[in-house]
Amino acid sequence: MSNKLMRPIVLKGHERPLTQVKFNREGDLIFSSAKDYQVCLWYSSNGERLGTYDGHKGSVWSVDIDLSTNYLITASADFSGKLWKAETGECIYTWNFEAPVKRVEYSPDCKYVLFVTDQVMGKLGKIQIFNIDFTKSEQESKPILEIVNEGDATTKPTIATWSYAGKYILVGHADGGISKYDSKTGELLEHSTPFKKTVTDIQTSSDRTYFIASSKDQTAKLFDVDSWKLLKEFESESPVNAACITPVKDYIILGGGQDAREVTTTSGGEGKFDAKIFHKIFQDEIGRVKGHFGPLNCIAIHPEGSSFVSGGEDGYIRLHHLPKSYFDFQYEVEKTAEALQHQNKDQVETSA
Amino acid sequence: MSSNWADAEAELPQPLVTDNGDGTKTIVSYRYNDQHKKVKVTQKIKFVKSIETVNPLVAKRTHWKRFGIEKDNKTIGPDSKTTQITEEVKLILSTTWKADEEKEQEKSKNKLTKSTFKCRVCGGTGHYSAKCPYKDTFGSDSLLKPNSTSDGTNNNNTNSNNPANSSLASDNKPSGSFSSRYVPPNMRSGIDASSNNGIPAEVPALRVTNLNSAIDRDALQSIVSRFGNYDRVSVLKNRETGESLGVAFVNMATLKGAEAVKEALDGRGLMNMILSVDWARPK
Repeated sequence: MSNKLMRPIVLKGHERPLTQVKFNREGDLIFSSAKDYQVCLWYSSNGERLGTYDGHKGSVWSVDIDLSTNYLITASADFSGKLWKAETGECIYTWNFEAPVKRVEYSPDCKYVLFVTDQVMGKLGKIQIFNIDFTKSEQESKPILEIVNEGDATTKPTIATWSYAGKYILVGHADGGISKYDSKTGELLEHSTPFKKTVTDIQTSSDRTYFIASSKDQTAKLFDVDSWKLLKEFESESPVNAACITPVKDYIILGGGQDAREVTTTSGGEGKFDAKIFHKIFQDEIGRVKGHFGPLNCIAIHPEGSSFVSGGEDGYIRLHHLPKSYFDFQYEVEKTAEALQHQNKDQVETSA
Repeated sequence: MSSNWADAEAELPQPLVTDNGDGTKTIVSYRYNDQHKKVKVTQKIKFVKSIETVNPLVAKRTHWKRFGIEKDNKTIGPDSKTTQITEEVKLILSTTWKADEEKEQEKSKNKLTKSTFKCRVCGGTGHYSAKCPYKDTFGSDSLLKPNSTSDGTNNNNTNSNNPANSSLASDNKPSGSFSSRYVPPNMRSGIDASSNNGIPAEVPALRVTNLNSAIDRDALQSIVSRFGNYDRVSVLKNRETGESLGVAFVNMATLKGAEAVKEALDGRGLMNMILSVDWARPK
């Protein structure tokens, strides 16, 4: 019995909807950002809040942590991005922008950082890449590369991430398009429009060679970075706000739900505020994790696949340490394949 | 050795620890039990050193000091203000999880309806409420077994006063067992032309329960007349006080009319009470 049960830990550090949750490389810490101007740091093992990073004067849209867990970077609606000392919560540097910053992410080698700025007030949506050097306290205030939205407001970039080795930048657009840019030259290499509505999240596999993009059109799709091929498709029954690829097991976790503004007009019992677990290969939905009172805005999985966190519109973060049943699940074909493999091994041994 | 009995209790042999050589230790100690008798306690203890390897970086980070809002928080470990453990959640991954979940829900539903709690007023199961205004809205049990609830109502009447009971009887009304399933009027046993006080047998009486006591015969007549002609409307009253008992019988002229009344009024709210209309049971 007990290997099917888990006790999620609710982290009530934020008063407004969550915007992003992130594990550090070792997975012992969780960073969370929310619309209440706060960024929190939590221990992932017990859910203890270690501290908060105070200084932003607007919703914090995005957060990222470098590989060594020394420097935190945040992006906020107060037109700024900030660099923090992760251990002390001290702000080291502030980048100023012309528009709210929707997304921030370190390159895989942590030598660059990308910011996605919103297309508002006559400013064009941009992806800006900066050099970053942790040895200096003063950072370069000028971007080394700018990728400017060439279309109108409907094609603005909403989300961006780095591919393997920081070679490409994978971008999701508000019109449901996704594109691949060269991170050195800013050249557009690939573009397609696989979604009908805005792209809400892009997360790569742990080796960054393929990625999952999720959209408000209730689907999430898996793409290969190099070939730009659609690999798999996952259908949900409500808008998908976040998607992640799990290590260890071949699963996909999707989070979403009806928009907050539509919640009052639809049946509450329906909810659909669940984290949905899909099988990555077979594309079937194999389980759900309930708990949130509002749509899930963000999901992150522990680098070792042992737990996942979800941040909701309800202002709560739920930390789930996955039970044994999660790891034990196998399709019949998987079981038979495994059994055959063992059999063959035995035969080889006996013949030898 | 002291001869004083009071001191004797304090003097116990020192615990003897022997190393067994196989990683275990035997500790022999003495204590007094409740009857002041000396008891020898032998414990065999195995010491196991468990080594947990932690990434040194992670180990270092466990000693980080709190900062920001949490700077002055002296709680050791997670603060219950920000960190709460929730109910257990079952996670079973399967390709048929949807069907499994439905089955589970069905099960819990059955459990609920099979529960043993009883209504204080009518003694029926599936609901609690005083005067049971919601007895038909809570759980499906009362709907499945009108027997239990209506029997209960009868009991209630009996308890409250006898005249009411006799009036019930004179009105040719329910008693004893009755099948819970709806039986079309013309198929019912016990409906003869001879019964029902000369009212045509094809049109069985309707039994209206859970009426507000403020509703008298005239009021009910005016409501019922909207659905067609009626032969008779009677509201049961306490013979001594003249107060309505909340039960009425309606005989409509036509079966159609009777069905229309049942359709329209059953489960409908009237003066803060939810009406329940059913076919009156033949004797």
